[in-house]
Amino acid sequence: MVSEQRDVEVKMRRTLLKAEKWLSKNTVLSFGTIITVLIFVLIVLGPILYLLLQILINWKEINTTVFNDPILGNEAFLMMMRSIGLSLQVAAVVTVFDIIVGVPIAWILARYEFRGKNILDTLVDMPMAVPTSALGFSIYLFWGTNNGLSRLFNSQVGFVSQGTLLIILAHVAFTFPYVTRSIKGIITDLDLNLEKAGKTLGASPFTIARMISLPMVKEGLLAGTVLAFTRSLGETGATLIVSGVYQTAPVVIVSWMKGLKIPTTAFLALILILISLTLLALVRLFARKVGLPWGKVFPKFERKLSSKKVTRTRDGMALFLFFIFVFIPALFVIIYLFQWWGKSPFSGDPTAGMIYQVFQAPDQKIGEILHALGTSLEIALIVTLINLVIATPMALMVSKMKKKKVKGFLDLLIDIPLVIPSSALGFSIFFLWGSNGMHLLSPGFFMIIIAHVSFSYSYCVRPLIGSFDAIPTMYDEAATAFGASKFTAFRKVTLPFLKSGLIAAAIMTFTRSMSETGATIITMGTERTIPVLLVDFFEASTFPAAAFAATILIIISFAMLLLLRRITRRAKNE
Amino acid sequence: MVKVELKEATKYYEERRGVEDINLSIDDGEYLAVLGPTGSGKTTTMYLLAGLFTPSRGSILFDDEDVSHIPAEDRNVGFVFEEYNLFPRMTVESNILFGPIVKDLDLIVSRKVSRELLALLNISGKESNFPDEISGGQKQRVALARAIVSDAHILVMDDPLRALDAKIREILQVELRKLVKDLGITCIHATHDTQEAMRVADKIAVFKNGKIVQIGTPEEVYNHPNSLYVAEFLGESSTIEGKIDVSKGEKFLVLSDESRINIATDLKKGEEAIALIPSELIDVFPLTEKKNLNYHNIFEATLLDVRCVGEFNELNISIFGTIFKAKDLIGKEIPLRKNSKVLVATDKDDYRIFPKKEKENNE
Repeated sequence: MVSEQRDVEVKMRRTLLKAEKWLSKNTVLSFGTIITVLIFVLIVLGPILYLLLQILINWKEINTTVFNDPILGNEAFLMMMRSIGLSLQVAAVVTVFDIIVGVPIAWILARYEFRGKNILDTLVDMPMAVPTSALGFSIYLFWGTNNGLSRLFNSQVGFVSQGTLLIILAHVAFTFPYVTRSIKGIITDLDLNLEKAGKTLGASPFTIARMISLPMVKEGLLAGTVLAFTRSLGETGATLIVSGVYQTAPVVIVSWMKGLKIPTTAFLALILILISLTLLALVRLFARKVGLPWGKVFPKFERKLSSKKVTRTRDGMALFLFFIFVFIPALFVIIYLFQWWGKSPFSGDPTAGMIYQVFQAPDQKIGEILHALGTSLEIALIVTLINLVIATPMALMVSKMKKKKVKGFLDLLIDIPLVIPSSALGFSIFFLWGSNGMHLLSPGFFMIIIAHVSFSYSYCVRPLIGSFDAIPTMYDEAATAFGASKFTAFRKVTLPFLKSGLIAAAIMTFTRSMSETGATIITMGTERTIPVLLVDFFEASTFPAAAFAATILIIISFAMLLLLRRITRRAKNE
Repeated sequence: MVKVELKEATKYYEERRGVEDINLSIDDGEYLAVLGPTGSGKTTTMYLLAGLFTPSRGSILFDDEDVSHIPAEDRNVGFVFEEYNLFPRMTVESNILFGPIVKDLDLIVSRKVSRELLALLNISGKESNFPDEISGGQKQRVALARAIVSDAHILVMDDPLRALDAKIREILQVELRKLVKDLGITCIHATHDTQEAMRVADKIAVFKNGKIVQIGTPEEVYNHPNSLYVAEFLGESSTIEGKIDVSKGEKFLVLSDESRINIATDLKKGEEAIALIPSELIDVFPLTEKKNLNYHNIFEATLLDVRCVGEFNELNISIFGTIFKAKDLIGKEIPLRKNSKVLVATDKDDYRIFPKKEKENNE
């Protein structure tokens, strides 16, 4: 019996090795490469290219609806320009604020040792993980209603009404971590000896930071700034809640889409995509070459800026701004939830409280919430699995690519979903896969999945490229030298190294999919995910129910974030 | 330019001692080498001088003015690091002119000084290169030029040649001394390499565990080490223990096997002592030479190994039940073969005698 079993095992192992040998043949491998690229094109590039193509082909129709509508004239175009203008202005202000808060905080996290540093580090990352619609709702409650800040001052109305200022406040909260994140690591790795050298040559700390450290952080800072800018430019979920009558471009896309104004939506989506792509390409091409504005030094002035008083004020300011503009507003929804738990804190009416609204009211919101939560989890899980399967070969390919130019180009292409507005990307997917294109899907569950796979693709590929890069090639080479086929070597040698990278990529993809609003609204049809449901609740003015959904989302994403940090930290220690 | 003094300068890192009670005085224009093994407090001393550390106790004086609490950027100390620390995103010229720019000096003058220095250091024409485009030796020359052009009154170098190849190191040692002497600048140069210290410096301060054990000219320190530690650190040598005995006005070291070595020492009869002999002072001859030799001590020994390492042969000799290391200049053309009997000849002044207590204290 035993020997028979062993025979079967040996046979199976041999078959596996044989299969892997076949898979390792050059023809099979290049076939695999082609498929990898094909999927990438179909999911990410295809929709965008198709959108461009259709606009060119149907230029006449677009021209009529956008510029020469018989009734509205070029009103559509003017509205586009207004919304894009507003989006760009908001993004610009937000980015400046991000740098003012984000850079000092990155410096604090990289350079100082203090108690609770780990907690601060997690808190800074949090807004990236929490769904923006929950974040936007929380921020609206804090600034815009009489529950939040104005309660402290006994005021009956909100501090900041819906509109540009509130949009900016919301966007700062979830974009500034991109700046902090992208430079914290670089600052940590800076060679302190260079700063000592600068010191002995007579430079004050501020001069050193400006002339020696900044040039080395520059590229990371630029990359982070572009991410923050494009995220602000393309955000939908939070903006829908805080914008009121002021419509940013992605919000306009969503509302036109709801009105099924396909040609104008297509045109606006394309413009947004082109703006983001241009920014991405410019930064990639010129980040290294951008010079710093002034080489002139003002020793006395810069010395004053370096004094303990000034630096302490600066650090304190950055932390203060972080807590007052990001942390407290972002989590205020939890406080709100407790305020409205059983009854209204103002009138004492129990039917206005959360318990009644969610669990007892005849419309059974809890059922809706659970159903949406189920849909969200289901989608996020499927999207994560699909992305792991299609992203791993892509990451391997980019990491192993020897031709520098091709590698750089691929690298650029992979970042595309990272920068273009997700509502525009969602629209392109709808356009390509739906009735206007291949006619394979109608809006609904599966189209949401395709859209989510598309915009979360970079979130999955990026960390995997990092993991592949970190694996020393010598093991692989050694394994092949011992006669293992490439596939066997990959399974036996590379994959174990990759474990934590894969988990990290999975969690990133999962949280990203969980929290998306813009692309979902466009592709969802009658389905509802929980961030979208939150927006619905908000629009129906059932705030306590929205707060309940938001709190669930915050808890889930916070747990995900902690898990992610744990795994990446363990990987670093190994 | 400047006279530098350290008075009981002490630096603790939390619990650990960096340096303790360092007393040093470096005259205007003097070239001092700080010599010691890794962890002996050299870098700490250099950082104290440059102002990168403030002393926990004691003071640092430039021209009799206490500068202990003046930060590095205001001290005008040119610092040359072991790892060069050139700013990677700046060209050679921008690196060199960094000091003058941040100090708002006259750039026309600085640029001229920089050109002259680069010519003097043999690296003209590299001004527009980036640090990663030039060799290690060139990098260190640039770092040196950068430190000097920043209007430094004192040059402090922390093991500046450590990362370089032996050949370049020797060339730069000579260049360094010449440059420093030409400029008349006060210079403190930390190194772990005895030869380097002796080649560059007017005076050497030997460090051990954060304290100075001996200060003197290279000749003084080498020929008259004040402790076994200094003697052992400065050169390759062999040691042997014994007891002092006196007979007919001569002093002898009596070994455990009753061999008697004629020595010169202040130690008294009956005291336990350690004798140290530098490898190059042991002369080795074939047995046949015995009659022609005129030495205080001549012993028979077994030659265990002969190895040619360049200018000299390294010999391992079994004698008095231990092993002596000797250096023998090539060119002497004496046929010495492995495992043969030889004569080991030494004079009484060749031995450095230390009381045995000291060794015990060390351990």
